[in-house]
Amino acid sequence: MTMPFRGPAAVPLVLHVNGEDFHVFVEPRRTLLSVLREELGLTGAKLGCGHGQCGACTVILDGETAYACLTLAIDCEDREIRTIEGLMRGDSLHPVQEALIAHDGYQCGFCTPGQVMSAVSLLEHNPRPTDDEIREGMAGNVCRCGAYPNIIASVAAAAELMAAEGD
Amino acid sequence: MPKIRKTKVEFEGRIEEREVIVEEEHVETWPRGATLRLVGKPTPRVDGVARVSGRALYTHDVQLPRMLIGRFLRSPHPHARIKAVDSAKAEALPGVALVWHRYHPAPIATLEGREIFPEEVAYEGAEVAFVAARDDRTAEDALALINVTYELLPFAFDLESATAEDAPKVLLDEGNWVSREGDVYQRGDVGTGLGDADEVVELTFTTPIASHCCLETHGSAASWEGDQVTVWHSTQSVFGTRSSVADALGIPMDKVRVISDYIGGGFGSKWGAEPYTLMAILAARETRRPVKAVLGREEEHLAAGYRPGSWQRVRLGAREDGTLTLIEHDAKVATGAFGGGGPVIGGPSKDLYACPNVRTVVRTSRTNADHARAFRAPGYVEGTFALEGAMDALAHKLGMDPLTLRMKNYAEMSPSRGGPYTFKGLRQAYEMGAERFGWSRAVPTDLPNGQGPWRRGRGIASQIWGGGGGPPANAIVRLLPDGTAELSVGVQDIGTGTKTVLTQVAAEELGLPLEAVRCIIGDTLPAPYGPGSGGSVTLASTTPAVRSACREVLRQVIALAAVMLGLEDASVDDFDVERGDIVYRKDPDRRLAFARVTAKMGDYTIVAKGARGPNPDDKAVNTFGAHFAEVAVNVETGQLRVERIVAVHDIGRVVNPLTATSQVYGGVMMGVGYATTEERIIDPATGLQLTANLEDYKVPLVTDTPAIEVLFVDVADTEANSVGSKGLGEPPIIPVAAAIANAVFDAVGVRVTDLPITPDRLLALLSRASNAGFSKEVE
Amino acid sequence: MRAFNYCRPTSYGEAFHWLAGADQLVVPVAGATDLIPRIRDGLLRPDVVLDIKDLPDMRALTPTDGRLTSGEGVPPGLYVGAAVRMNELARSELVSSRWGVLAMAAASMGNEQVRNRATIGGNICTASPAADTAPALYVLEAAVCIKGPDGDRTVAIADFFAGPRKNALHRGELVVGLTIPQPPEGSIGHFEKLSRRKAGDLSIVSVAALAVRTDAGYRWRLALGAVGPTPLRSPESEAILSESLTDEAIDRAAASAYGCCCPISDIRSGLEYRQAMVINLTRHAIHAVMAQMPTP
Repeated sequence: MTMPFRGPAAVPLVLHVNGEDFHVFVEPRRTLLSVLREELGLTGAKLGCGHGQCGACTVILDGETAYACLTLAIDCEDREIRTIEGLMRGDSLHPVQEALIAHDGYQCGFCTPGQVMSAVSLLEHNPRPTDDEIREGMAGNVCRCGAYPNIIASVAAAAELMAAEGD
Repeated sequence: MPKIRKTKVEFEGRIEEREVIVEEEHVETWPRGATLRLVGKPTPRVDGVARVSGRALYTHDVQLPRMLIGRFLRSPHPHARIKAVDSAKAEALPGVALVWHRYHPAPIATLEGREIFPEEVAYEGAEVAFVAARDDRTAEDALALINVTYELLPFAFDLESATAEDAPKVLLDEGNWVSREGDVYQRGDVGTGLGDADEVVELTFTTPIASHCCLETHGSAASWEGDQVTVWHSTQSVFGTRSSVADALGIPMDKVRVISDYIGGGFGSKWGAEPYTLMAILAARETRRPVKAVLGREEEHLAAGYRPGSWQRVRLGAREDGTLTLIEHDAKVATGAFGGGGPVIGGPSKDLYACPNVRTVVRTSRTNADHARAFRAPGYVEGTFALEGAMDALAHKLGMDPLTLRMKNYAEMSPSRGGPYTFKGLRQAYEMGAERFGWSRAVPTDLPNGQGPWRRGRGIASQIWGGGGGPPANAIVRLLPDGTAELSVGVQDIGTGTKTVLTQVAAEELGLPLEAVRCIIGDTLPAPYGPGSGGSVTLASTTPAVRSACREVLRQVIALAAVMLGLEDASVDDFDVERGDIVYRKDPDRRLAFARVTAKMGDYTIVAKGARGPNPDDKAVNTFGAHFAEVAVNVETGQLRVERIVAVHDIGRVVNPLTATSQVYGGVMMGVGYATTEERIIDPATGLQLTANLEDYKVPLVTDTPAIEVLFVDVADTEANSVGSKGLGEPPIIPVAAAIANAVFDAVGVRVTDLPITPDRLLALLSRASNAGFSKEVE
Repeated sequence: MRAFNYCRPTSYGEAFHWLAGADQLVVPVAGATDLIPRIRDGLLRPDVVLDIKDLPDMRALTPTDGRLTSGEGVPPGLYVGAAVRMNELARSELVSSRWGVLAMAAASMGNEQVRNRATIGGNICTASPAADTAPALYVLEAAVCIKGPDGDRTVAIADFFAGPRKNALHRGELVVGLTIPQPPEGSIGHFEKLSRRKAGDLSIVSVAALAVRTDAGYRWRLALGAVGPTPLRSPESEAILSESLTDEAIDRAAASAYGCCCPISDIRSGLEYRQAMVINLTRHAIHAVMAQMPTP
């Protein structure tokens, strides 16, 4: 028994985003990024290049960072999608967010949602990263404003905050 | 009362005398060493939560009901004549609202005197057709259905090919030279300078075309309500955009509202209305639906500007003791098909050193490219690379320490204007930097120096820039009955932290906590005029206006307080504001809490306007800096690692050390990219860009970050303006490339005069040098 | 991006049914990190995108005694399903235990986000001469497991790369995985690449070296990437190193490696620089391997 094609016209999909189910009706060519932004109104992740070269669209997919601009939405059914919008608990910031504010780890802010998601994922996998591990873990996120020294400091500070919270 | 006055304002290396309307609301300047509560303290951004939570809304994020998406078809050729455009299939595609092009033009066909869809397209990426459709996919599908017939024309892709004797014409009806004789600055006499010199160095430099690469690509959205249009525009100037939209449409300014709440980078490339702006506005009017048009990443490289590449020759003459007798600086740049004035490459040569004989020339040619735009310290980045490289070569030739040579030629007075500076802290910058960097100590040896392939070296370079700002700039402050305040300024925050420093200054002046002041920027509707975020003028132009508005608010509050204290006859000047109280100076026990006064206001709102006063008449206002770089060079692979930069800047009073430090980090990183990896490469055979993406156009990544140490001279420039501060957006990028190249020379004895310093370029220089038995002793 | 159909078969029968579609361009996809940009840029116009991730064993990463491969006498080794991702390889203790050179190569690719999605099948099917895992797979003498409507076959990795962006697949076939023989205990591998920026960049030159432990000493294997139309081995260098590891021998081995290459100039680097770096990087990789050899 062969499954039929899906598409090229819109097909129904269910996406699990930030713990909620969303029913959308989109073409198979739609990227996860375009569905998040245009269908779900989650505009935190940005389109910076559309080619996986800048990281502004970074989200966490099944616990690992991914470029939402290189990921087809139809490939994300049955996956846990986390975006910047799901990070705060009520009014309280995630330690990565707190640290970025305290250390001015951004300038124009356009890359920031992607930077935040990369940092969150990095610290989930490696709670006490070295300076080199921070740089390597954040290397998929371009900041054209060059806030890098403060981004590095923010991630290190967030690790401290999270360790203190864990104690 | 407003008066008309003349004042001098420096913008990106050009000093203009403007007749401006100023309002003489005298505000006492904060003296040096003044004890300030908020100003001068590291202050996290007031909009930090919006920025880290994804709630900050950029132009890209504007989504309105029934909004259409606009996209352009662009020329795939560097130079061509459009013979026919067939858009029938695109127009018939379901979901397509309209298609405009040369043969089916929009209701308005020109912008700033130039045709939007010309017959002759003069660069890869020139607009050929515009589509508005229900979504991005449909617009893209429609573009693929448009057939264009091009007649290909010969092209000139760079400075050399455009200025050759038999060069193809960039534009059929124009000469390739915009300015063959060039913009010339001269003082003294070149011959005299040469005659007086004991040593002369002459070097030729080239710098690459650099792309801004704003992470948020250029874009606009437009929505009409009756005869009024709201334009969201990712711009460095909401007011500049308002004027250009009103001009383009031929409608009154009051019908145009421009919003730019958050901007994903500008760096000099985002100003007034552009073709995508106008098309979005017109399509929105035509379809009665909102329209958004943003560029894709490739379009951003093709049609959103760049720093022009340059060719430069610098000749320096000096006496044996290092005293400069001559600076001669010749430059050629190519600024794209539509020319325009070249950047002020001679600026640093004109003003950085005291030298009696100076001549600078900048010649400008067209090329088959989009027009060049300002890019963070336009001209000065290129010019400083050449001048400071030549100074380094001169120091070695004279056997002098490069820092000593710079001190020797220190300009106490403004060399080009002849008069004094309001304040110049470059000497302190040199001293502080040398101390922190350890300039007088030997090269650190923790890297195996002399063994293994890595060699270490150190270099310095310095910098001058404007940044004094000036009028006009206004602020409006509203004091609300609960004692909180709203501050409205007609500027925008392109990532520099403008909103935060404006809030700090207002809260300082009003004696309120930071949280009690809400700052509204990035919108022309509520605000009086404010300048564009360029030329590093924002802070120095607007914060004095904020102070002056706040003073006026206080005057009104004090007048009320005086009545409440039974001191009707006292003068406003008899009161101080301290820690939330209004205090009668002659009897400090007679005081009244600020909040008590505002509580009395009921529904009354105190509103006050403030204005930026004129600049001092007879003094130059400038910013300065010195960078000390340490690099490591691998002599086997040609790899260059920038290890450490100590950056010292004199910008007067530092209002927010946290965001100011960020500005320096950003400038240094951009300078590292310019020096080492960034370069627009164009295929000579096709005239097409090979690097129109973020993989091949290599901006620095976090892994390329050196240790950067930031210091500020931090002495208030009390004669510049009432806050004592000057701008910092541009200065930190200026000396970076020169400091790095000078450090490379120190490390391996070859002078890199062509940027970027790629491994293959550096290795080729090293092998040429070793073949020639070259060493730095015999340069 | 042009519209396309999508399907994600769970059986090979289904997959081959779609791949046999004569009048349609059916493009298999796993991580999509290379595919999406190519579709977006109009370089590829698929009618159907065939997601292979759910096919049996596509994500397998297991030691093998030949179970998953056809043919006799396959030595114990590693089976890597085509949809195994770069970060899985880079972080797998199993891979690092005996196939460390592959883990190093996988870790050098792109950046975290790309390595979380990009697969080894995609990396080799793209057949870029600069494919990061290729030199490692060459020195490990991996075999590519291919399934087609007419049966299974395996192709040596060096035969799989046929030219820039050309591989040895026939129409209707799929790469399902790789088998990688296990180097004898005591073998030492090293991978190195040179690129413009420290992270995220394609290589200008890449080198993998593997010293295969033998009774008598080491038999060397050396492979280079980004210096010809396909990745390549340098048999002469291998012979020289297997004989002797004097400085002079290393120089000759590096020179021979240089002789094997036919690089081009591109925007990442000029031709001459690439040539010089072949010698430099080869020498460097040899020394890195030698540094791990137990002192006699």
